[in-house]
Amino acid sequence: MATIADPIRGTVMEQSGRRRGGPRNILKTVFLTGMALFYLLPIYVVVITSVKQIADVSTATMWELPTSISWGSYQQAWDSLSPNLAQSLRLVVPATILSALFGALNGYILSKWKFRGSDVLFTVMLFGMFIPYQAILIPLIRFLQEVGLYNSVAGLVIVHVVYGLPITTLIFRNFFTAIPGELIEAARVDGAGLLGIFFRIMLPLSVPAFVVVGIFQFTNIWNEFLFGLTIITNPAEQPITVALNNLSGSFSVDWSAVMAGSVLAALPTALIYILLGRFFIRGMLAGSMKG
Amino acid sequence: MARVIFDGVFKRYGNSSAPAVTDLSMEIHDREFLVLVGPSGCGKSTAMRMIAGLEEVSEGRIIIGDRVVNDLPPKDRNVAMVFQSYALYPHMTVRDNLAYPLKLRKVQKAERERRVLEAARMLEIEQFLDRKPKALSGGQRQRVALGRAVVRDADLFLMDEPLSNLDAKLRVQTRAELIKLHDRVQTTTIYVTHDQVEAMTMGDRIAVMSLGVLQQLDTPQNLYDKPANKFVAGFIGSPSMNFVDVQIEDAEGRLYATNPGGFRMRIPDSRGASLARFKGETVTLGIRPEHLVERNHFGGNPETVLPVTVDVIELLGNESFIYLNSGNAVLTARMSPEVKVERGQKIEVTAEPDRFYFFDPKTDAAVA
Repeated sequence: MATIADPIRGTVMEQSGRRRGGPRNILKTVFLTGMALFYLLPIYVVVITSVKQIADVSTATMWELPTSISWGSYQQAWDSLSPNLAQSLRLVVPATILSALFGALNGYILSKWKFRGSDVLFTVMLFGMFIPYQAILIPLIRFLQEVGLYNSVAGLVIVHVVYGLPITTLIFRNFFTAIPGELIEAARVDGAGLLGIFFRIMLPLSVPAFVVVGIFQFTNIWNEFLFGLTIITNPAEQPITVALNNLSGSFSVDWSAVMAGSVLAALPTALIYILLGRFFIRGMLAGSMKG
Repeated sequence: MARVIFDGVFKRYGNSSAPAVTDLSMEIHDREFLVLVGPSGCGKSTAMRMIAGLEEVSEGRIIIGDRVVNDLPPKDRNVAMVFQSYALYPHMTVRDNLAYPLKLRKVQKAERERRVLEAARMLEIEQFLDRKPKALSGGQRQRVALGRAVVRDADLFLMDEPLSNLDAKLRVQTRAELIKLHDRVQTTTIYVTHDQVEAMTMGDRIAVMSLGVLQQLDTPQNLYDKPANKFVAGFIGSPSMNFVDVQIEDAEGRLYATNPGGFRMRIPDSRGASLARFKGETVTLGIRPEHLVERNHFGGNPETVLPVTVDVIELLGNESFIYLNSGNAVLTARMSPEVKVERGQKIEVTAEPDRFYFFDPKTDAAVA
């Protein structure tokens, strides 16, 4: 009896021992931490370079910590970038809100008010995601010139809203598909119309989808460079990404200012993710599980 | 309050050959509680959804009150509907759920509040008014769904299997409450279910549907006593009616029903006239389990008996189900526990003459 029971008990202990702090787990943790640090190296360089004196910046010492901390580069970056930062906000806020709203409306119709050919239309819309910006740049700019929106934030907003429609439509359509059809039928019998149901029933239920689409669009539009560069010609009115690029002059580059500018430019998207990240993951999973 | 008329209504989906609803014509009276019953896929829900306007009518007319509603959107039909899933608005409190249809109809705020309270009182959900649906039990949600219908002052209540998500005990209780509610508000109600017990206990009249076709529309008692065809006979009643194919034979002026390889049974004289035309042919004999009586327990002298063998006995305490066989025919009998029989025992069973049903096997129609 004992000879049979002992090895079994032994295995059990070995297994439970492996789960906590065993040699395998320590190795795994060390490896994963190492990989994480490796991935964070560029961030490290950006941050330490941004607080170095100009004289301290060189390729030879780029990995070394600064001898003294100087915030001057931030002041400098802020002075030259703040108009563009404001410009980016003026672009990204309306563009995100509008593309989310239109995506929600599209997704609502394509999931709950299907009509003949609506699935084909949806597939065709998704193709929009795969058209590279460069391919349509010249006709796009010609078009904006024709309608008088070239060289304006409004034009840039419209371009981003339209370019965002495929992905926002996709996310909202999949989200709304999970909302039971009986809810819409109940509202119809109760006396609501197509738009009434959208605003009173669907929108209040789609906060998670709005968070996902919001973060996604905010980040994409904030980081976009090509449209910002080509649709707006006046450097003072170009978005932050373009201005950041302009910060590095043609002959010499003030690395600490550029790095400080990068940090400034990256802050809004990082903040959005830190604040709404929990909802982002929850929203991505919404509909995939019940309950 | 309103009547509803189906006038030659068809519902076809796409190009599929069999319509979901075929040539449906019936009138549902004002204040009536009508139950649409049938197995799943029989078209009962489709018929109801066409009244609500959630499905288009392919052909024919639907009339609510005096209006042909074929082309009216749901919101203009003034009907209220209770869904199987309850379909409560999850982001609204119970109060807002009840008030929503009133708000959409531009009812003034004070009047709205009065009616919400009245409905909540009637359904005893007053104490939940400020909760959201997810904080309610199934039974409470069900009441809110009913409340949303009651609050509206609609011409018509449509209920699509409203009890099927409740547990058995609550279902029976709510069934009685729904009947009381109908007695009180008197609104014409159309109720869809697949459960024949629900249909029998609740309906003023019952419309039995199968494969998109209305089989019979009558009172519960008439459906039970005089089923129009084999489908209705088999659908109403539990356990369901026994069916045996028999040959009608004439011997010295008397009619006999013979089950090949099984029993030979004299046909009651009162049934002879209508069955005479089937002489030499096969018909389907139907007997309900509760009408089969062991010969010695039958009061008086039976006109006809069936010799059978006891196969299986299920004792339930208040009654027993006895499975009998006679050649290739298998019958279920529902008897009082006082009837003592044993497995393998040969007994004779009988029934009152008018409790034998006969169906034309070609059309399945009852032979009167």
